[in-house]
Amino acid sequence: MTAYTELRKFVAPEFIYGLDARRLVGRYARNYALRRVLLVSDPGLERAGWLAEVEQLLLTDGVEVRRWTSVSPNPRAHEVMEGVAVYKQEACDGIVALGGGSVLDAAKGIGIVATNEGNILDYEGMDRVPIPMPPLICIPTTAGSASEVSQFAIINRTSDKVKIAIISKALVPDVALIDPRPLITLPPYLTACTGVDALVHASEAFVSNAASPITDMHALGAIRLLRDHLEASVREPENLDHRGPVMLACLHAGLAFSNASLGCVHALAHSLGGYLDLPHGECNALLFAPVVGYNYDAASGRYDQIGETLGWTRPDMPAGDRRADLVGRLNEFRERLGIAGNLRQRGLGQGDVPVLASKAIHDPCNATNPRAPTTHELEDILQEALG
Amino acid sequence: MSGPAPDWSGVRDKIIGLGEQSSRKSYYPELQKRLEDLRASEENLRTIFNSTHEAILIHDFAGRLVAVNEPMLALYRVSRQEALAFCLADYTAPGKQLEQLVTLLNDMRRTRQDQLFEWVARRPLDGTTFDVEVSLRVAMWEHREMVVAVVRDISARKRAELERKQLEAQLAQSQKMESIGLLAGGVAHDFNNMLTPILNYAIMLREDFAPGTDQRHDLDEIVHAAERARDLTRQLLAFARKQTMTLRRIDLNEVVRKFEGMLRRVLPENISVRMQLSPEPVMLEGDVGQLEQVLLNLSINARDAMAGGGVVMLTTQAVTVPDGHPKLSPGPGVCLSFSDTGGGMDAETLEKVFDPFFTTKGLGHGTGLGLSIVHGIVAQHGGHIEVSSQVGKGTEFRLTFRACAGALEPGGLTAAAGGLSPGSETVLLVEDQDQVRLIARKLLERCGYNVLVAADGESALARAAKGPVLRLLVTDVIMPGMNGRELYEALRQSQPRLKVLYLSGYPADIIGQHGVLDAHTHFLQKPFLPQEFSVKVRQILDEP
Repeated sequence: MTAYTELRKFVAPEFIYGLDARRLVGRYARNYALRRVLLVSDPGLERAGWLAEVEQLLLTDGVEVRRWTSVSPNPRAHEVMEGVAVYKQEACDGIVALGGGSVLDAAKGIGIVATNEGNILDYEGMDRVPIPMPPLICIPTTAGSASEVSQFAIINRTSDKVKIAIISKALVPDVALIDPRPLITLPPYLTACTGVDALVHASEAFVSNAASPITDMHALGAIRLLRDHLEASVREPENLDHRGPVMLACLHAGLAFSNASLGCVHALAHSLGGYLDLPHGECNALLFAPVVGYNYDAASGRYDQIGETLGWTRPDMPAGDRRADLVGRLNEFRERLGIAGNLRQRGLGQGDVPVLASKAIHDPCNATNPRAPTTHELEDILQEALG
Repeated sequence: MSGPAPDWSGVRDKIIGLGEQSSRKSYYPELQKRLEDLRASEENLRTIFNSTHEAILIHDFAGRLVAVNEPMLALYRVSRQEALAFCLADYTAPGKQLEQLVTLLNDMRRTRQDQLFEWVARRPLDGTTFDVEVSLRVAMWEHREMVVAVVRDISARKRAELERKQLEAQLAQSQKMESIGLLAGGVAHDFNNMLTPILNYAIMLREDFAPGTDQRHDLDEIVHAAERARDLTRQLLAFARKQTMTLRRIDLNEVVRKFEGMLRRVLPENISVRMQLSPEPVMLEGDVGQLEQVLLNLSINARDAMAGGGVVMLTTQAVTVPDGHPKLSPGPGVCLSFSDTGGGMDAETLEKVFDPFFTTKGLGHGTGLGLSIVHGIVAQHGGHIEVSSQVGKGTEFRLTFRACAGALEPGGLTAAAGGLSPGSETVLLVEDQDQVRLIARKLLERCGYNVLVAADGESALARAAKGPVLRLLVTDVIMPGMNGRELYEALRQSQPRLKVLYLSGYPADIIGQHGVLDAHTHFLQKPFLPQEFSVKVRQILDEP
């Protein structure tokens, strides 16, 4: 059976891409017959004015709004449960999420518990959500997580400082309004971190053992756009000619990884993010090169394609040099984006390495990594990233 | 720290997502399930809504109805369509309640406080009203504030309450009558004992003076006063229903006709009397003397009510006592109506009209016993009296008795006119009251009887044992130790042909259970008159 006849599925929400797509939020709320929505966001977007605008758009369309902005980066389970309480107390019938990956994942968590009851942590793992959630409209304000199109939600379990993954088709939103304009208020460092996150999504999906022709197209499409616009977008935050392609790259990467899944970078980043409470993209950036080094031999052809797409790997390069070259260029690229240093400088100690590895080994992202890692191997990767 | 790598093949399959569990699920099945639950729940609530004993009306603050339950339709006798077409005012009794309705709704709108109260409701189609208890509570109904009114029919409870009150009043009344009766009886007993010597000595003494002399006139006055005192005690006994009664079959028409003369004497000329008597005889068992007393007292009452003149109307008729009559068993009855065109009475007066000592006539103008005596006599006859009155129009008394079949019975013996009736038989006289004993002995001896006397039962037995054969025992009823009846029974052991005449000022003890004397018991009420006494003694001795 070739890759072109294998039975495959591709799941994606309805989405609208383009400038001012967010302004259609009222139309979609009406479309789902929503009377009162929970508008989930964070204080930063509230300050930037994006929240008030969306709220006004909803009100103009006759939809009542209840704001809930108590979401922190790496959203905690108890925050999700607080949101559920507000949702029920205010008798909301749908959710609009405006924000980065943290906000969108928190909104998904609220939706799951609103219909399925229980605690959000009950739904950890694959296909554990029995009943679809209420209508969910996602408006991303970063170009990274792609939670607005994915079947993933990552929630921080504070009891053991681990970010758990909830993966289910039920987590795919009803509609994503993918608008580059809110990116203009995204600071350079976060632009860099989320951009690298998108690059890692595309790369891990491309080397995933669940990759398919459709996901491959999206993955490579994402890598190409990031190659051309990510650095410029960090330099010129308000230039929509760069913000737009990066947003599109993020969408491609999201569609790819939502259907092909990820790998060890994300498995480790989930442990690390929960442990140090670092931005997810920053964790990915620091772990990316060591994981590529570890994985390369298991998927060298695919990694060469990534290197070639990024414009680094030349066909005439000796096969023996390619791994080191790619790892080196990835680290240089990260530093050019402003993500310097190592995990040790970010507070990780030698003693933390086995703890993080023993947690990361249980992350379902390992399932589609080109190599099935052992705990020991994960320790080695962390050791390298520790510096 | 390094363990075996987990087996991730299952997870990869789920990521690829071709299994049923990995499908993106539709919310539709869940929605259908929830709609089904909702329908079931709504049905349950509707069942509860319609299963209450109470009517439920949901209305706005202006009194417009938006929903009612099935018991409401039954209680107010409307169809579902009609129910909502009427407003709250249509369901409210006219008058006071209707005026209160607006205030009530405004209060509800202002305070939003629950209310619980009694109310008079109305059926809008036939206009009938009924007592209800209403609870009001403000609640949301289809996103609007409404009033939920729960209405309970309490007309049966109200009726029962009224009946209970009436029963309590009747009980209180009969207890009052009972105690007044005891008091009256006691007073009458002592009074009669005192009046016996006064009357008899005065009459005897009077014989010693020629008519026209001062002494004769003075003694006449004493007799007259004593007779009035005697009449008063008799009235007291009548009102206490302790009067002896001699029942005969009589025609009420006859009683009324014979009384007409007396009526004309009692009523002044500016009051005319009309009679409308049943063409057929109306027969009942009654005591003519007492029924005459009833007519007399009613006449006096009518006279006093018509100071400026008017009409007294007497009517007799045969009636049928219906089932469920409060006093009389159903069947044929006779009715006597006695009405006047006087000032009438208000409800408050009407309520007390039969109370003893209740009078509207002012101090010194009436005993307040007249109508309670009427009531007592009618009750003792097993009859029923009703009174209806309208201020300014007049008053009507309706007396109803059980009818009886059969011919007239002749009246009792009337006292023979003239002097004392003589005799010579041996009579044993027993009386604990010295003065009564003395005068009775004197009277018997004047008649020529051989009189043995004793002050109580024991000494009477001793006296009889030693003496000659006795023909008649004349004895008081209530005495210390043995009473009169016991004494007679004891004497009859040795003298079976002995007859007896009881004397009493308080006949309750010898009258039968129904207020009627035993057929062969002779009784003379104190104070008796000399002639009356001698005639009675002779009459008994002459009986076969």
